[in-house]
Amino acid sequence: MELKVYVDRLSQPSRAIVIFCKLNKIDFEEVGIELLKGQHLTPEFKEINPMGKVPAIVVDGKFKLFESHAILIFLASTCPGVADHWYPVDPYKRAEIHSILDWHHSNLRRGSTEFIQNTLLAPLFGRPLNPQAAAEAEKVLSSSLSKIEALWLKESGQFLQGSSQPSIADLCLVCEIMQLEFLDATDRNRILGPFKKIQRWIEDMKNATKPYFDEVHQALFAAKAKLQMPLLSIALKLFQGAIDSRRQNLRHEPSRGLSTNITFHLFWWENTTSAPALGLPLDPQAAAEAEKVLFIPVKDKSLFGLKGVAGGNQPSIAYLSLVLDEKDCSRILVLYKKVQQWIEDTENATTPHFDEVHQIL
Amino acid sequence: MKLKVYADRMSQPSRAVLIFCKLNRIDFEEVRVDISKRQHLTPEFKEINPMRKLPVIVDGRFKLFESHAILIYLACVFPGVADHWYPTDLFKRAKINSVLDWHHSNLRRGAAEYVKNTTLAPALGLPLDPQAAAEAEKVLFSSLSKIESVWLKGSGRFLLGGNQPSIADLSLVCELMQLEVLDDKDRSRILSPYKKVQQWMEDTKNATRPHFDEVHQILFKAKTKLQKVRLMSTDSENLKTKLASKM
Repeated sequence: MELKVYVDRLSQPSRAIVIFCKLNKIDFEEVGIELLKGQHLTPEFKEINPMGKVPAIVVDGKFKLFESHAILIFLASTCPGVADHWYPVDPYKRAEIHSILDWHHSNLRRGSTEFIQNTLLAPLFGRPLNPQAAAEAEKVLSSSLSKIEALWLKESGQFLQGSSQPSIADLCLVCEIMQLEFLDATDRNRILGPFKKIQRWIEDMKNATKPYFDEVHQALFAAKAKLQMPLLSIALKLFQGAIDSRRQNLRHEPSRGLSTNITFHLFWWENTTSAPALGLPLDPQAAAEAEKVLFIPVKDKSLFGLKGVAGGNQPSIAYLSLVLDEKDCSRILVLYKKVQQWIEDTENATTPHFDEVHQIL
Repeated sequence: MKLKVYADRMSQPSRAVLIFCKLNRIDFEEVRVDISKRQHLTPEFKEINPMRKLPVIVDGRFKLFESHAILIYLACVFPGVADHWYPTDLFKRAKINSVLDWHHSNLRRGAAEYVKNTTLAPALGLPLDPQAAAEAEKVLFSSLSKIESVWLKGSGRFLLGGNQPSIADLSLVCELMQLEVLDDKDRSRILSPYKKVQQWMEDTKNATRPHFDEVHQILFKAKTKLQKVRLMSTDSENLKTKLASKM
């Protein structure tokens, strides 16, 4: 069976599939689909999954399947050598696994993803943060964790339903809870702290699936580290401000100050690259307009300082080099040799972190 | 000990399980749990299902909740259930699982929340929420589009190009039936762009008669009641306007 698995390791259900395949020595090809770059919305990927979501699999070049629970059940049922505990043949045990997987959609998954989106990640997808939605999501999340402890971790075994070995339900739910790693320590401790059984269960799951669990979760930890870098978290905050400003039709105003600089950078980036991720078309003409404006702030050296001056101005120029690719960066900045020198000096002063931080984009 | 099915016929997934049992001549006892009377919140019912939701089945000592898990269990464990409901072919089965999974966060979420926030919330002691209704409507339209363009793409009458219904058809059509309680104009506005969906609903009803209509009786009664209330409130508005214009 030739198996292609289309995933983004930043996606919880994607990780469950990859860990499952590696652990069970299923021969497969992992095809990365980067959500942050809108790759799930390309016409090519829509051929694989018309819903535009990851994970998805293609078997022998023709059988296409999406929805992670359906995929895990299919792989457990068709791949030889998959131990029974993952998806038992016993109809009672199997029914209970289905029950947990069904419950998961509208409970743990919904609470967790909506909380993380609305407190942290929404700007990366061009949406504003929403504290009210986050508060409601947190209730659902906490209630879900509570239910897991009270109902499914109440027996003496290490895994759901008192089992001594994990099932696909354990794998899905634990990968979902791992997404909370994106949160800062205060939020994460507040949410997970009360649930000791859940914390132990996560550890038991990691042990039962090593080394793959940690290896597949690397991408998550790496992304978390970058989000915590002051540069990027400031950039994200500016990003959010820029989204709001743009919606107030700032495009016709001459650029003034930092947040409007970011606005035009954002606008330029959206219209050359990221618009599809927001369900919008690219607009090269609008990008060209934004580019004209971009030259104005860059020329004014006093706005940015030189020789790596720390402080409020610094994120702006670094952000410029974060959102533009090398070719465009060179093209725009070639006229501004002093600015280029400054960027180089900053890079030298902060490697390897500078490069590491830029990796995320 | 006979299979017990705890259900409220106003609940879409409850109806799917009941219709399935009757159609497949599964011997069972229906235990009515009235959500509008908060019977799902009693300590007795919590013993049956700690999640306090419907439907639930009890088969001997085995308790099971979540309608998709229930339908799969019944299809696999009870003899005489035709293969098309949940095929043994693992590829066909996987596709049905895919629809059932997709359903939770898409059609179910959109349809149930739209109906609740425009119409049914007061019966559950909750306020109507126009903002939530507007968001749910987007999800509902998007889901109907996806059903037409993806799930009903094949040449068969049912989802995934099937010539006979599966548990996925039953589950999703029962969900869409909840739109019956909406104002007729609203229901028409939502469903009329989707010709394939409408045809598929008819085909599913035909394939599951007479049980489909019988199990949906309570929903039609609720629809009639709500229509009367709407008419009365329109009449009283008209009366107020007439009186006001006479003054």
